[in-house]
Amino acid sequence: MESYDFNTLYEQHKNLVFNLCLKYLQNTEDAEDITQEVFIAIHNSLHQFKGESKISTWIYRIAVTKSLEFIRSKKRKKRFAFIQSIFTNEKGEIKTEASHFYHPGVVLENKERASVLFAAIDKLPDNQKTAFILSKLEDLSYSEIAEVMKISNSSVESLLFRAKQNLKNYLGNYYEKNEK
Amino acid sequence: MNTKQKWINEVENSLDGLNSLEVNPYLYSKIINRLNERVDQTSPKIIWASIASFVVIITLNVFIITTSKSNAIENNSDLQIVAKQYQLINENTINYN
Repeated sequence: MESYDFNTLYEQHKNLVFNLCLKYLQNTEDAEDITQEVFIAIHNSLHQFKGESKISTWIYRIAVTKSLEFIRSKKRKKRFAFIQSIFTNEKGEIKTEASHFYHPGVVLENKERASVLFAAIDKLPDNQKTAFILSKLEDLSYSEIAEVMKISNSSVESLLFRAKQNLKNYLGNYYEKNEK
Repeated sequence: MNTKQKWINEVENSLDGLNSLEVNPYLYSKIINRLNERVDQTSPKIIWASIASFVVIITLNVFIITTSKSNAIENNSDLQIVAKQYQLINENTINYN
């Protein structure tokens, strides 16, 4: 089995992990924090990597898991803050809607439209979101996505179909409300 | 194609050609610092784990000693009853136990 050096792994995958986390979290600081978490997890469990899949697939899996965990914990905190504000009658700053995210890597003329798409992606269920991000934004093949998500190729296909359908519905409603 | 559908398609394709960003150059040292901190943090954990296991061992020992003592007293009284029934003990003998 091939042995991996942490420094080399970091150099080879740092941008991949950071950019993937950014697509999930839609916030540069959060993406940086989770990138740290991902590499700490990689460092601590590198000895457990059996080489059954490609190292990049394994890293993708860790990054996806950490990003989704962070999103869930953020949602939990928001819910808790909301409940707390009911009991304490305080007017805390609770954002129920995600603020617009302008990805620095998007070309200027697409900035507004891309931010709408990011808001729509954010609304997708975890599995559909992962399938969509890995396919559309990371350009992974169905079999690579299946390996990352530990599901079959046909499940990936069906998740992508549902994700695209949900995005269309969301964008349709958004158009009716804001663009018409 | 109507305007709505055209707009949806444009939005869907707005992330095509998305440029990859460079990670913060200081991130690596932050990670290494955190990894070193974790190594330092493990020692109090080990200390607490050993204290906890020590307390568990002491409690178990005390429990075993007290239960075996009470069992011994019970066994002793049973023995005396049997001894009395078979008249192995003289009633007039003073028991110094």
